[in-house]
Amino acid sequence: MKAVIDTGTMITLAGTCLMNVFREFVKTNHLELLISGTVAEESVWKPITNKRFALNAARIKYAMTQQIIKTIPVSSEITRTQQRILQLANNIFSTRNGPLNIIQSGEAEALALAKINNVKMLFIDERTTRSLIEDPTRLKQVLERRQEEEVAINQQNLNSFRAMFPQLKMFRSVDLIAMAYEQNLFDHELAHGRLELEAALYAGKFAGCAVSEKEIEDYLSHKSE
Amino acid sequence: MKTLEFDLSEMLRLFEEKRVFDLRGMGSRLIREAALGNDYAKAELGVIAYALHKIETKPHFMNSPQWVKIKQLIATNFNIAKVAVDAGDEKKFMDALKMIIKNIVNIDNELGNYAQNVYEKAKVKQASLAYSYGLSIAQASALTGADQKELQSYIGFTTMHDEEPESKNITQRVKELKEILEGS
Repeated sequence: MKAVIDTGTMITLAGTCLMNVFREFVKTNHLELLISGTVAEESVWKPITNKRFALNAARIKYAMTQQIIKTIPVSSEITRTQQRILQLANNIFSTRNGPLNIIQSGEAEALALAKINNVKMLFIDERTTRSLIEDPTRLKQVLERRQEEEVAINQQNLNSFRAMFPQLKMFRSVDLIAMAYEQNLFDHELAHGRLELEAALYAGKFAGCAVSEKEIEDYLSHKSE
Repeated sequence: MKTLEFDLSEMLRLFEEKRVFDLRGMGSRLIREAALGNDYAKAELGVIAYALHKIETKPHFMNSPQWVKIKQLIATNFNIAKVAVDAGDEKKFMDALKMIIKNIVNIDNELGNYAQNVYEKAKVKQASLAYSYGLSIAQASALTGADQKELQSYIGFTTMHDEEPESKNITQRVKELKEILEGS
């Protein structure tokens, strides 16, 4: 089954040293995990020149060479779909100052890849893009509260945008980690225990995955010691 | 939304009067306005305001004779930027901002104690603010010029993701993931 993965999720998994768990997750579930050329550029080729992030980038590069993830070169179809996504997504919310540009080309390219390949799963740690598809009303409330401005929704653009992804479900690195635990796939990196699960989930959170402490604690409360 | 002319005059005044916390507050306002209007010039000024506030809170910078000289150069470039904005000369305005950034980076290289310079940190700090206003990580990075990985890592150590609960929790998402994987 095909799925798409975004830069942030790759960075979280590489940064938390959970690439072996990730590999087993992909293999066990027979996933064909796609990343776009721009995502590869952002998560591998650019940071590999920065000493602080080179090791993470090298881990992701290795996953590419091992065919755990497959890089899809940017095509005219991807660019066209990406432009359409950007045009819609960045004209959904507006204030008295004009439309709010809330997403960038990298995120739009991951969505374009999901659309073109008709995938059901997008792994994305980033909150804004996910909220745009899952709960745009809530995103509007966040924008209004944070920016202290009234935000209007262009319903036509929102409907067109959401209609592009009728079946798409979004998952974060912490969801992948939790699922890998439930499938007993930790033993390629860690022992299969609640302590290890807790440590892995918090590592994901501290690496920047959009998850709250309460959410992690709620999930862990259902897991035995 | 304030004009760029106002922002430049205000920032110069706060900088000269050493009103560091007002400078920081101004940096936050500029980032908010930059996020609202997708305004890269305001975002750059917001990063500069935060970096200058940071420098002005460090005694080893404040007590250095080099800083006195650099401060004059920065003030001169603020004035050049103001004149350029009045004249509608975008290139001259951007060049003046670049000179201010160069001055900040140079003095930090000379006097700073950290491997990561104050300007790079300011970019990440202000990008996290833009992210908190609802922009995506990539958009917040692009607006301020911050490195996306640095930003993601910085955000992970804040309480930002604890403040806005997700619409679906881990249990619900794992259930959905299972359904898709088992249905394949």
